[in-house]
Amino acid sequence: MAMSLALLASAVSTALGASGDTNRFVALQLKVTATEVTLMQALQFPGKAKPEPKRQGLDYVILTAEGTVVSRGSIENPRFERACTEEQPGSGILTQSTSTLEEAITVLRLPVDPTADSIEFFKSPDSGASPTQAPQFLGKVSLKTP
Amino acid sequence: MNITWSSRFRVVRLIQVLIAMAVGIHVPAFGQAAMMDLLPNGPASERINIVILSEGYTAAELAQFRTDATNTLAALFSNSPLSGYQEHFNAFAISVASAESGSDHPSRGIYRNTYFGSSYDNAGIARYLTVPQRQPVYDILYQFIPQYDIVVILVNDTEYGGSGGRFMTISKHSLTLEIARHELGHAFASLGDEYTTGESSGYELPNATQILNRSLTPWKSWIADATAVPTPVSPTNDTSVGLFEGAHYNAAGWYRPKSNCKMRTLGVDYCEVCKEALVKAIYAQSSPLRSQEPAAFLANLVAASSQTFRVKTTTPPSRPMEIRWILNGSPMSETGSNLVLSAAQLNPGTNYLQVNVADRTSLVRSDPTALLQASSTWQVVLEASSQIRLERPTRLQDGRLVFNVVGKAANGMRIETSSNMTTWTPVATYGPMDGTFSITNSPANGSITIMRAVSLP
Repeated sequence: MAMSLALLASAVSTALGASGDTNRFVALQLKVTATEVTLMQALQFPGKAKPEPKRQGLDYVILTAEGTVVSRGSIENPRFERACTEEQPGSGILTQSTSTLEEAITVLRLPVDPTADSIEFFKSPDSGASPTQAPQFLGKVSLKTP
Repeated sequence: MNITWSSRFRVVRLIQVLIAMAVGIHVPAFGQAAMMDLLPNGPASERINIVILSEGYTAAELAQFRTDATNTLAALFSNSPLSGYQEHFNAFAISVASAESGSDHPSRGIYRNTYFGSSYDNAGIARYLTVPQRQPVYDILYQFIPQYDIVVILVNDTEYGGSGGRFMTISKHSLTLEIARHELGHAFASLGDEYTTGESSGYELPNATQILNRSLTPWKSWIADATAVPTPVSPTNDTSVGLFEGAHYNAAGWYRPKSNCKMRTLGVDYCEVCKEALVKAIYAQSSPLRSQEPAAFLANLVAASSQTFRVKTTTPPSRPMEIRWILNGSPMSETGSNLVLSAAQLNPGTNYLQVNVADRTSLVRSDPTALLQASSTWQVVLEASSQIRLERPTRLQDGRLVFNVVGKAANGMRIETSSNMTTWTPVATYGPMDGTFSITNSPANGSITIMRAVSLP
């Protein structure tokens, strides 16, 4: 009988461990304009968030409530759309076409981190920009569930 | 009034469409979405997930979409280096029916009611095919595969066209598959265009740089000492990696690694530097180490026993995965995926066994952050199979001796007595024990003063 109770206790403990699983990621759906980044919705999913491919366009900094940097990254600016098209089909010779949208949406996926309090967005500086030039601030989004 | 679910859905849908028309946003044309595995290779969290979405396929055409998606996937994997690294990828086809077949061609007054609202003729270019709103795409991805990595919207239109960006949009024209391979370089490995027409963003890229210094260039490990820098375009340099002027939408001031490459001209292979970036992008999202046994960090070995440790790795295309085992900081001679570790190889107490795996492909020469490597460590505790001691001997008033045997005797123990420490006589034999075992010698015999417990082999 004592053994049965022990097994039962073990099973309950495992179930509680699963429900407290931190192996989740959050998808921040963002609206991006020339001057602002705002949160449209935040969704949580089970699983790990793989690192997003390194892009430039929008830089972000994840901060604790005390303002300590948790991590940094950058993603492509979704406002700038681009197409590589062949000058003549089959020629192989490419040319670029671009269009800039007034606003666009993008999704940034991040691991759930209880220490993360907020995320700040900046416009990525060009490689030719002066190191002393402050990056353009585009917005701050709270990562805490109300 | 009774309203059926289908009529309720139609009412909701009508309201959605009316609201959408009022605020000018695109609402997907009907479709019950379904996802099919095209290339299942493991958990979505640990693989690179390619998602191919149907666009402009009616319900009756969705079987054709699955065939088209399969062919598109095969085309994406038809070139090196992806051809050798398929096991790092999952691929899914998401079928969603459109009300009408095809895509919009505004310049010809052709409009189709399709799920994602795709259209040619963007930015005044007939072949610029894209979807106007990303929200319906994200909604489908959230629903089926929120761990998407590479998204391809396959448009059921045979006219040549496509575009890149976060979502790759391609038509069914055969030439667009080569565009797709080029766009994959952008979307997946952050490669830049190496051609010279267009609007530069000004950012340094893995295959485009403004740095004309051989020792500082991002692909310096590929440039032979004999190669001139800058590298003139000439037949003798066709196969060389160097610094060729003209890249990233600039005819001057920007340099590319090779005279020609798929990121410059369609129909050409990726150059060495772009292949390296693609392989590193694969390993940035998918480890070469698939699984390990035992799965737990802590492994206990009992003396006189052994344990097998295993790792499962991916299979690189050009040469076998390098596997190295390290015990307590010292490299071992074994190089296979299995290691039989015997207790005799361990120190008493805690040991550490580490396995390092690495893809030593010739496609990558520079891997400063060790993307092509992975390791795993076990803590191996060597436990004595039998280690027992006697505690708390007490003589009772009736003369009997009581004592505890404490410890572990995996095969049991025997209590023996002696009067001279030379000749021992068995008194009793017990089965396996682990813990504290109280012994009382019986019958009382005050003459016996020496007793011992012997663990059985």
